[in-house]
Amino acid sequence: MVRDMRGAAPHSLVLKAGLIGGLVGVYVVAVGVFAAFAARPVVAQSLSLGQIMLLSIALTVGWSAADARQGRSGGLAAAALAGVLAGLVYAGVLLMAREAKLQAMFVALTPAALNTGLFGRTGLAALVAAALIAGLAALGGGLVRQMPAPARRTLLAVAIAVLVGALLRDLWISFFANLLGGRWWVSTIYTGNGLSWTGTGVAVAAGLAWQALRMLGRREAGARSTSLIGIALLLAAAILIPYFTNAFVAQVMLLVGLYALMGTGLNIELGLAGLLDLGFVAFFAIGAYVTALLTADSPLAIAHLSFWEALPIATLCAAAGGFVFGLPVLRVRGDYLALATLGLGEIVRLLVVSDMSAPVIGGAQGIVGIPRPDLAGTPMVSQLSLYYLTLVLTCLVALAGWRLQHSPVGRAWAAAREDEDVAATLGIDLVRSKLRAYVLGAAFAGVAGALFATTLGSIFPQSFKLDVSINVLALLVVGGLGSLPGVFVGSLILIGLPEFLREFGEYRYLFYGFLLILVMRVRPQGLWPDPLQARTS
Amino acid sequence: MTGVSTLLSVHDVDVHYGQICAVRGASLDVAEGEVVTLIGANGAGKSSLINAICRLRPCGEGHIRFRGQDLRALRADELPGLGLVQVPEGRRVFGRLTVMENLRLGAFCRKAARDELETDLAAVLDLFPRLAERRDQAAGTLSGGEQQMLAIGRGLMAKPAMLLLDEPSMGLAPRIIDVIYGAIAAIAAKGVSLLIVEQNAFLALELARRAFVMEAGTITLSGPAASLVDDERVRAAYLG
Ligand SMILES: Nc1ncnc2c1ncn2[C@@H]1O[C@H](COP(=O)(O)OP(=O)(O)O)[C@@H](O)[C@H]1O
Ligand SMILES: [Mg+2]
Repeated sequence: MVRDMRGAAPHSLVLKAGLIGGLVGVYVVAVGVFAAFAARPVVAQSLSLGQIMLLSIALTVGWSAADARQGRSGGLAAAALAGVLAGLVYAGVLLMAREAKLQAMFVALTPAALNTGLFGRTGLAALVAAALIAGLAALGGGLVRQMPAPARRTLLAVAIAVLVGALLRDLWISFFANLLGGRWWVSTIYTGNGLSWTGTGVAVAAGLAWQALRMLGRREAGARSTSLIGIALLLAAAILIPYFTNAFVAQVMLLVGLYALMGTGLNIELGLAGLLDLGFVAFFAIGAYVTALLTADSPLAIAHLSFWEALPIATLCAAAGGFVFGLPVLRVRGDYLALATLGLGEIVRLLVVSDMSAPVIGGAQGIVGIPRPDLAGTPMVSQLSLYYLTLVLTCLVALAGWRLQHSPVGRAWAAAREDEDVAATLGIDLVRSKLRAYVLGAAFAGVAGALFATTLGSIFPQSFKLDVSINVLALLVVGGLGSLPGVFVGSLILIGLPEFLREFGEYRYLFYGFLLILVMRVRPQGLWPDPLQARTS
Repeated sequence: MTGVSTLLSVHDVDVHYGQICAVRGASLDVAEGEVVTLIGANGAGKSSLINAICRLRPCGEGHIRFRGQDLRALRADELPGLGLVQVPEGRRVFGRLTVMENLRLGAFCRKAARDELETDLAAVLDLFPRLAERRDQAAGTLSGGEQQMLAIGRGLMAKPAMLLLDEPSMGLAPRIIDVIYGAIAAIAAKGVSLLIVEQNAFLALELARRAFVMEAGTITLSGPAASLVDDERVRAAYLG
């Protein structure tokens, strides 16, 4: 007790956390995110995504204010105080905004939005309600911070399970309907747009079970077999989920597979050899355009090959592009390489849209009429079959990447990434080693480009912008640099998830940004890191 | 030196860092199968000279010959193939790779058959049993002494004719230094030529046949190791 009394609460921390939290809440309402998210129920009709967002802001306020130096009860008091302050700031500003009729400046500040934001109350009642709710939530945040780590992880797993259950509702509905025999499940688990209370219970149980499995797996089995089981589960999900759901899911998963394929390529460059390549999209474009020119039913076509004949040629062309560009550029070190490759990406994009090249590759009109691949004489037209094609190619490429990683060539990449001088004194030719990584990465991007062309049936210059390179880079970082399963997880989360959250419109990129920041703060080694890299970084 | 052929000969080599001259007119030589030590205080220019020999730093005029071949026409990564391998100062193992991966990397320059590599790996693990216990551990998690063992083992995996050991005892406890020097003596006994760079020169002088002393970038003394151990100046400066 004596210890708890020692050292007064750092008022500045409480003040700061409360003020910032309150203003973040105001911001969220003012730009309209809250209104969009409030329309989405999560638990029965009683908790919407918007409310969850406000609550998590208050929770974070409490977490930050409950500094360990203040002892247990001191920390909780500080958390609650900061929460109350945040609630007062939040409600106060919104009340003033209602009086000032700021809708002219902030379109999203409609009377309705303000009304939900203020819990349907006015004046003093709104202030009291906000302070009370935020104070309690912040107290919860403080408690969470003081919990032992396993309890915290369990809570997190439960929260994620509930969110995944509610937000990916369409996915689960089609899954239940097709697999587990019918609509009965659906009507028990969901009401309207959100989870029912039963559904919430199921989700909580699923989260608990998941956490229990993880803890059991960690204790019983070595890291190696846990990751093998994980990979098997991932693969089973990749095979089964699109099959048992619908064409939309297959289409999204196809995109996920395509990005995983590119991720495997960039993983060789960045994750294994340490080359930051921002022009990766260039080789994706080469693969796509070569495939289009060789197979399309179009006046621009230069041959009428089948996809299977065009695929190796496109891959080789992309690899050759990597070689020609890599030779001069790879003598450049570090940051300069990123800039040089960024330039390459832009050059390729400009060439593709330019009028000069229009007679050859179609300019802004692109190339249309690219046929689907044939399988045993019949074209693969369904999204599902195209998805499986992508999955098979992605797995093959991932297998190749894995073999490379554990070969002398892969070890040489790792060595050069860690210490160029020592690598050289061991006989590793640095330029050659980097060039090899760059060419292989380019080749993998070429495979992805070829697939992209054939699955879409037409290609346009807009598809080959810098965003592609950035997306691939981001998915590698989120999944865990240098980790192959990480590529798939990263792709699923950064490419797949936004597609499933389309109903949130542009705001879904908020998830994207939020997720990136969260991963960098909480798990800088990535969601599924390479075991060795995780242990020593 | 009649009858034994010279393996490494360095003649009149300068090393510059911009305007700073770290090594001036250094010459030394190592014969086939010989153990030679290069001693000097911190900052004397020992590592600079070693790095110039290994082609990690450009050097001025003069020549560096290994088995009669001028190394100045070669790149750093071409040297281990000739049998000249450096074990760098401060160990510099690849921290995120396992012990075994580090060792296998040592053999990168060789086009050896699988069984031959396995035999050599076994020999290195035999020399350093502590590495065998930690074979699948990340090298960055090893203790300083174990990292030094790994760095030497990695060098051995190249099957060198000559090893350049840059301060193998740096920052290690006396007990560990004895273990390391025991292994170095065993390596020398197998006929590998050694150039051992040291600041604390007692063990190196005991093991070496000849020694060179470097001060402020120039070689100021050289001769049989036994005579240098008794030299007043050497005693005062390096043996404490
Ligand atoms: N990379 C560098 N840049 C500039 N000066 C250096 C560099 N490396 C070493 N020096 C300088 O060269 C001199 C010799 O250093 P070094 O060869 O490391 O000595 P030793 O190995 O004998 O301790 C020192 O004065 C040192 O400051
Ligand atoms: Mg030195």
